[in-house]
Parts: sequence; structure tokens; C-alpha cells
Amino acid sequence: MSKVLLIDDSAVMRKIIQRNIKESGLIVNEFIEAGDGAQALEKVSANELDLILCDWNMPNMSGIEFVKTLRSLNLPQKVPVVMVTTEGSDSKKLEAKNSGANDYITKPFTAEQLRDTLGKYLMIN
Amino acid sequence: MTITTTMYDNVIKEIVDSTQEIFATMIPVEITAGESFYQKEENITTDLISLISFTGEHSGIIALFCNKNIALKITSNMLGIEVTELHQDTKDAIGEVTNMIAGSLKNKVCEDLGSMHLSIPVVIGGASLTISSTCKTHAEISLPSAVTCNSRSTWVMLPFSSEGETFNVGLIIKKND
Repeated sequence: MSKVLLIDDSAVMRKIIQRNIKESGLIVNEFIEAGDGAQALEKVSANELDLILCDWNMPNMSGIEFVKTLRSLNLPQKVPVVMVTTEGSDSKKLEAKNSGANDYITKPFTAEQLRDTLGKYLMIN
Repeated sequence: MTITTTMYDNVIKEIVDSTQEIFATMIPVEITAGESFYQKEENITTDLISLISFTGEHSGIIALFCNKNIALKITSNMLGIEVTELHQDTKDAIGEVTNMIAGSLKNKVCEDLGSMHLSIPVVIGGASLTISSTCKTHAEISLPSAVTCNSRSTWVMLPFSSEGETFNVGLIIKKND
């Protein structure tokens, strides 16, 4: 059973990512959604997750703040985090990596880019 | 008035390229870019406006202006279901498209324009809304047939078409002192 948390303030973007994952043949049994980092922290504590996909710019708590907070919790299982964001500069990618993100996808993305990156963390049909 | 050369030619080219890439990959809808032109803000009339402001060495606004039909088409394609009325998902979709255009531009032109800080998108839509600028003597809300954006700025408009429907990506930009 694979469970993925999608964090993005755009409900449409969350749906697009879900559709692309399904069409890519990546196996996900359950998607859980959060509209910002603060909501996401609640979902993390209530679920056993296999992967987290996280936008950067969101109200209340940004994606990078979420990653830093998540990693500071020292959870027994280190859930992989992939940033999915319009922020594409090398400095942002480095900041994400240094904050504890495992991978990075820049919007707009192709289905192939999504499959190639998320295929490291999810089973593929 | 048709644009021939501007100091922001590269910015305009990158907006066109980014918009085409986003529509090809994330929506997907085939679009064709038209010839850019200037338009006074008082002459802009549309059904949906999505605005992102940016600050830094340059400041300005990137906006998406689209009518109801193209907004519904974009939303339907993004969601993979037929959407027939303007609602929150439509605003969310148009805002996200604008966000990707602005973000992509920021990534591509940061060497030319310096650092840019983007706002989150503000989307205004509806069949009976008008925005009046604060420079007018009376605050007013009137009810014409579509959204209008009234101020004194002139926009660089980049038109795109898809199967008979058109939309514009607009830009206002200035270098800060």
C-alpha cells in the first residue's frame, strides 16, 4: 500500500499531479492532500506516508518551512520529499536539498519527468 | 500599435516560449502565438483576469486575460473533465497557469533582470464585475458585461489563439531606480 501526500495551495495542481502519476503507471494506493505546510504537518502525524510532494510558495507555511520542520521532528521513518515548484534556480534547488528535500521537479513538468523522478520512490506498473 | 523593438525583447520572447511550453505540457492545449501589441488598460475588457506582481531590480505585473470560453477550455483540459461554468476551479486553474508563466519567466531571465520576487496570483472573474482604480475621485463598482481593469498603465499584450478562441498574456514592467 503506497500513500502519497500532495502539498499545494492549488487544488487544480493537486489534481493534475494525481492524474499524471496515475497515467505514468506509478503505483499509488492513496493520495492525501494538504493546502499548505501547516496542514501537511497534521497529515504527516496522522498517516504512514511513502512519499511527500511539496510546492514551495504557499500561504501560512511555505514548502521549505515545512521540509525544515519535518526534518527537525526526527521521525523514525524519513519520508522522502520531492519539491514540485515553479522555483527553478540553482540556489533554490540547493536550499531545498540542504533543508532535507530529496528531489526536485520544476513546473511545468512533463509526464516523463514526473515518472523518472518519482519512479525512484514509487513502484511502476 | 504593434511592438517593433523594446528593451525587453528578451522578456517578451521568454514569456511567449514559456506560455507555449506550459500549454503543451501541463494543460495540454495547442496554442499559436500572435504579434504583440500595446494596449491601454482602460481598453481591456475580459471575463477573467489573473495577476501576479513582481518586485526586485524591476517591478511590474504579469497577467493572463481570458474570456469565459478559453478559461473553461483550459480548466477542462487541466482537470480532465468537462467544466461548463466559471467557478473556483476555473480561477484556481487560471491562477496556476499564470503562476507557471511568471515562475518560468523568473527562472529564465534572472540574469538579465536581476532577482525577482513574485506575489501569489490574484484572480478576478465573473460576468458582472468591474475594477476601478483608486486614482478616480469616486470609488465605484459598476456592472458592465465583463471584467474591466481601469487604470492609466499601458500593457504589452502577447496574444495567443487556440481553435478560434484567443487570450492575452499581459506585461507591465519598469526598472527601479
